Amino acid sequence: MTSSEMTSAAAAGVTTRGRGWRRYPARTFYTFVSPWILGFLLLTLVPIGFALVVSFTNYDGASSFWRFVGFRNYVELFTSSPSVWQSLLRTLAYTIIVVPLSVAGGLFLAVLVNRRLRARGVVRAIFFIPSVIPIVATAIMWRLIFNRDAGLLNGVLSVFGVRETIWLADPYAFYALIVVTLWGLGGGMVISLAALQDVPTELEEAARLDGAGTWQVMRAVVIPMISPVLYFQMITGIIASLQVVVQPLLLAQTRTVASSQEVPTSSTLYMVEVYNEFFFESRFGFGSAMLWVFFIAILAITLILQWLSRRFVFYQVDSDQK
Amino acid sequence: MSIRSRSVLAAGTLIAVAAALTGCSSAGSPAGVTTVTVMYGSEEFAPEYVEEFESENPDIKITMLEFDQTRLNAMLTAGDPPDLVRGLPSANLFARGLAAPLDSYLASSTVILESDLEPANDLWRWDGNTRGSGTLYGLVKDYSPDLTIWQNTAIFDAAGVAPFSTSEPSSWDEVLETAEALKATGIENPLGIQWQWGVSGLLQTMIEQQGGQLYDSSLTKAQLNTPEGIRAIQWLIDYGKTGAGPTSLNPPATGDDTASFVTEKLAATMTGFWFGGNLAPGEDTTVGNTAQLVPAPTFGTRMSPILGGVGAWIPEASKNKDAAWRVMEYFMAGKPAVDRASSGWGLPGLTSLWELMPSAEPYQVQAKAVALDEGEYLVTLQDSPYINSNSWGSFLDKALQEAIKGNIDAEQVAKSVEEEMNKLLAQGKDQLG
Amino acid sequence: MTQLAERPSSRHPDAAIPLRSRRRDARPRSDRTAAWVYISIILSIAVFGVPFLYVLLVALSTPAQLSDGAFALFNLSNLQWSNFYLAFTRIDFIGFARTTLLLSLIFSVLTTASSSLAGFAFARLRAPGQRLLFNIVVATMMIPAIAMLIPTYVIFARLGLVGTYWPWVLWGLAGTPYLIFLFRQFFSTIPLELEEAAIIDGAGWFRIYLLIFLPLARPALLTSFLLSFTWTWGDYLAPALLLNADNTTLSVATAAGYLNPQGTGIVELQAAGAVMFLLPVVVLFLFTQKYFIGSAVGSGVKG
Repeated sequence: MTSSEMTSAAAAGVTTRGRGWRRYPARTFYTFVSPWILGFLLLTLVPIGFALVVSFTNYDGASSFWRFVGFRNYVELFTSSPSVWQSLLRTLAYTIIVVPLSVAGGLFLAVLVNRRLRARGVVRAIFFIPSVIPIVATAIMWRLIFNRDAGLLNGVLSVFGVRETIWLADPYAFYALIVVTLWGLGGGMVISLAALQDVPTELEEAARLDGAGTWQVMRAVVIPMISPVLYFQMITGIIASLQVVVQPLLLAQTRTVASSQEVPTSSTLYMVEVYNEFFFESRFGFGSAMLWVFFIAILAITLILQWLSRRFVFYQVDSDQK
Repeated sequence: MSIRSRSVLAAGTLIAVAAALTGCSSAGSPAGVTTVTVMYGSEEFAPEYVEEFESENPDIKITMLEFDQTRLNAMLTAGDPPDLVRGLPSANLFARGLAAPLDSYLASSTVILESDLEPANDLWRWDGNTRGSGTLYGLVKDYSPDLTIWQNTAIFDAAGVAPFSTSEPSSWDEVLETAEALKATGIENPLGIQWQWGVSGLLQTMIEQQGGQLYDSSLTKAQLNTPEGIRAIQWLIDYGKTGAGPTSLNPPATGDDTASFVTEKLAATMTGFWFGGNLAPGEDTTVGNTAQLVPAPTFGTRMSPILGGVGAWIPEASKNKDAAWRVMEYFMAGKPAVDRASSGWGLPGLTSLWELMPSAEPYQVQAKAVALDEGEYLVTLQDSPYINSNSWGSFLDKALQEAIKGNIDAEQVAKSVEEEMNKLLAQGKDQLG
Repeated sequence: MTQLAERPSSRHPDAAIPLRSRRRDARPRSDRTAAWVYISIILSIAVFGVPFLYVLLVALSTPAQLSDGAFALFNLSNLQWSNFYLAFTRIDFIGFARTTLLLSLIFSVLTTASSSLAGFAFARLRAPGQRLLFNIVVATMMIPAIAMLIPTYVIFARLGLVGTYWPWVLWGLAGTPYLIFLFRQFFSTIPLELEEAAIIDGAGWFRIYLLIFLPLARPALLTSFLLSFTWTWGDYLAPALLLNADNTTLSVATAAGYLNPQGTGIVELQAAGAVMFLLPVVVLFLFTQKYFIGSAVGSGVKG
């Protein structure tokens, strides 16, 4: 629908029964997106701006004892905060482990399920449901499995003579967190499944006729065809992993809901550390600086990934189809 | 569906939603009624107390919030805090001006009399320099000499080890030796010290008992790398290494010592008077017959501090302080306080309530006597306004874990914790000026 | 190459639903591959399904069994169905469930409406600055929502909205970037002829949206509704910060309730509560599977 077609229709003097919106697509556009724009300003831009301003102070969140300190928080962040950097490294390690495994795992399951199985829907459901159930339920379930005394894992391992281990404390808490995250990879399975079904079978068959084995078909035909989808999963996966905070909090719960201080060191990811700074150290300024560094880092990562995608991702059709 | 019925449907939905929202929102109260927001644990400030208070005070309505540190901080930030908050007395809280002074309320109160206040309430006093004297910022709901030890003499006798004296404090070294002796007879975890609740208070007490102080006189530097500090740290490391009891490396299955002591698997637990509430005789619980409370051990001067002092305070930014004070009076002197006193779960903050304490069981009588005795050695530990004990407590715990595993020694623990504390103190000092 | 020509255009309104007839017929190459496939499937089912079984076992156990260790739980002779009753009554389960339902409905209806409107605008309307705005939508998807929560809380508090359900109304009205993206992709695939005819008839854009595009978008609408519903149902941080003890959601109530006087969690009740909490989502999913799955296709991630 080009603007010339619209204006010609208007110029033809067709009478309108409705309002004259058809003549002002721009105005309509802005009306339609106005709720989103307002929401963006109020609920996204303002909070981010607030965080930026606060990051230049030593505000403690409650009292009146604060003042502007310039870039001191940022300097401190970069030069004398070992705990912050450690949490960042942990988060990067976590992301590097979880995201490829999730995407590959999702693809693997999708390949498994993409067959003429009996009870295919049931199998697919079992894989997918963990990714939609409430996070609190997931945390409770896995806390039980990892429980030192009544947990399934220790129970099974004790058969092999392995001593009771506290999985939810250092140093294993990190791995427990990874396991819990990976349990939800059914979400990725579904996306890969849809993508797999769009791969035209004749391409695959042609490859097989040329003598390619299953793995080669995957590598040379299927994966390139679905690479946009995999790329999409990777980006969203990376962004989601970098911000994880609820799972460590809930997994660390021993009595009432865990405070971010009770999270074992090995699963103290960056956002958990941010929460620590805000609510336990009462260092709103420093915490806001951490948030802003985080925002910028995500931006940088996304841009890098975009650049990489142009080199590795194969788009079947031009992305600017319109 | 025609346009018109669709719009009607849409309008109807919006109206219904709006109605539901206003019905569910907690904004606004009818004229003449003040709404007081109380942030407490619903196990302690039970709904029936809320009902009773509201019926006795029809001009006040209570909105209960479950206590949550994150939520509290968020509310303080927003400038809209609850009116009455459960909490621990902390110099940092007072120095930041977050808590409202209560002296004038106390002076004019007919329900809570200053003369009736137990010295434990002094934990909530701060004069800008020393905790324990000065303006009153809160009241304790009940208290307990936290370093007293409950012992089960039956287990001691069966193991052939002499139990602790109930009239004189043992030394910490004796305590550890006794625990090791018990362990040698096959008891896995003889002595619990509730490590999971933090050992920073214990550490500080040990330092002060030897005549030292945790903070220097300006309250801006920590003093852990001293003979007193290292001795205390070493004790904790030895405790962990000998496996005398649960630590954060080896936590009790149920989260604290209660289950183990009540089922007589634990010989002793250093939990303080309030623990006695667990020992009420029940169908399977016979531990009360052989349980005793023992004075707090020492490294020198006899001191029996209160490490907690949980109570309630009124935020300075609250808009309903008068009404909040009335809730405070009810909670500290009314039915909830009476119930708490007679339950044996803690020593009442008001002297007049002491007579309500249970004395049916011999152990209750014995414990009360010991607690009275300990009261003479009550000490308010030093507190610095520039630091929050939560912040360094977890750091201490992690350092101790490393030491127990044998990776570092006591001096290194002292140095690293002291360094961390000094950093936090410097930040605090910078904040408060 | 007839298959290519017959391959249903992704512009088909029903593109959101995977078409069974197009599924590749993957016959196992050999018995060995088939065996591996089946073993993998069975193992995977075990891994994904076991937590559910286990939490059910714990929910039906006694404290004694719990302290005895995992294998004691398999002793099915003394199933404590009463734990469910206790979990139900110990906290005001029904009340919290009702609240959670209300919030989830409010949010999902509003955000579906708002996002579909915005998605439609991005897909079918031209306006200056549109590209930039859409890039902002995409960029917003990357902002950590969790990080926004604290400053957003302050704003809500100053507006006096804490303790009410208005934040969810506002969040709903503002739309969700992911859903806007979804709808934009979806609406892009609808052929132009449909709206051209309407325009010639003189219909305004809103009517076009309402009468032509929305009905066609049923799968996407349902998907959006379901996703946002389950997301709100399970959300923990926002209700924890914004709602009070008496009007909070099941998420917070299950996580923080079920404590004994010392403040330690009562494990078997927590398990029972968790089971009851996740059951509605599972049931919902089982009845609407294809819409959840459809979200993957509808997001049109190819572009």
